[in-house]
Amino acid sequence: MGILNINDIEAGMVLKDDIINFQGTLLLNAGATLAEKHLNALRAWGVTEANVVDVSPADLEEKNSDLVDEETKGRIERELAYLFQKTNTEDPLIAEIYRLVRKRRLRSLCNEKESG
Amino acid sequence: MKKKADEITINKVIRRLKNMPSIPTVITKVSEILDDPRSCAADFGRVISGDQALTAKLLRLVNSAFYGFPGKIDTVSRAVTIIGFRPLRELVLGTSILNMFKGLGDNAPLGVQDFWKHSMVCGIASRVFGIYKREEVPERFFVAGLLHDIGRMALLESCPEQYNEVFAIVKEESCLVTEAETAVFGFTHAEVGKKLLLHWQLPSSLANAVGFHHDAERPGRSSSLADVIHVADIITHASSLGASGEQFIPPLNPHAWGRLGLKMSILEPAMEKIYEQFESIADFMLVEKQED
Ligand SMILES: [Fe+2]
Ligand SMILES: [Fe+2]
Repeated sequence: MGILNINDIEAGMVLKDDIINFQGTLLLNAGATLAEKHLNALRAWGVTEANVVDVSPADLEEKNSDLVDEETKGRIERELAYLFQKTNTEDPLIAEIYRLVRKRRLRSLCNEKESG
Repeated sequence: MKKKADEITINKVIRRLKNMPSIPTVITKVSEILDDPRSCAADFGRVISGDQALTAKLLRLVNSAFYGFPGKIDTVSRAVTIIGFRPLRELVLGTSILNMFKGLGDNAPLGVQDFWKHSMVCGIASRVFGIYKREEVPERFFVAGLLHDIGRMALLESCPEQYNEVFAIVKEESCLVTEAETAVFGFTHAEVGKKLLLHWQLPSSLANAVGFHHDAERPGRSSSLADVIHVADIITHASSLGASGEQFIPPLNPHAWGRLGLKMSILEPAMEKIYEQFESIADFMLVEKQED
């Protein structure tokens, strides 16, 4: 289980927690199996993340990471190391930015693979 | 590194910007309307509608994912009612200043189009953080982000030879452009930006934020506007959208993020929003290439 970004949630995943909007209205119940129409509705309501059963952000990153070959992964790491060399990667903010940018690069490579 | 061009001062840089138009009259008029408590949405509409290109851009902006309103806003006075005077004034300011730089930077070693992408992404990112901070007028952050590196454009335009030297030093020493600027000029694009904005009589809060956007080690001289554009600039460099001339992510001020009081978990949705908004507004907001 884990809180996933709405873009990483797929139809068929099961909600771990209720989804409540910022005004406190219940949008979807815990235990609901998400269908494509739910995902569209969540996006339209401005929901950015949800807690789902059986998939964690780490699993997902691994899954995306598995789709990309070692050579490409190495290239991404090298490019990012170059870009980040003058800033403090030990800082938690920079570490998080690094993680997000890396994730985005991996995801866009995976999407390219899936669509072509 | 030795300072080589010590005869150049920031004031000289600004004076040399001969081609630089003064601040557009539309901004002055809009400010007058804002200061007049009797003014209304129709007055604002009248001033803006004199400039058709500006009106079109504003309307596209308020109808884009930048705001994400469900219905269509088709007149400026309607936009005033929905978005408000002050946010719109900021948008007028940002859009107009973007346009002033149309003809600049063509000879620069840095592509003007890439430079404006960098500025736009930083503006969008700054506004997104302003919204998370529940700022009253997050558009102020948009303008600050949009203009944060304007001093670099001014330096490139007024001192092209010295600026080539800056890039040569960067290449040779793999240092930051900002460091090479200090070596060649004795000051940086941040300070030039600050002076230029003050010269245009823009608010000192804006000018100061621009002036300190690379100050990593000076905690006492900050404001939330400065902290936001500092962090937004770092995220913009990390996103690799556009280019500021700097090939590395600039050093982080370790205090800036903490002072903003935002949770780390907002970063991921914030970055999604930044990419999404950039895609939805880049095509019409970017400076058109001037026809030869
Ligand atoms: Fe800068
Ligand atoms: Fe920048």
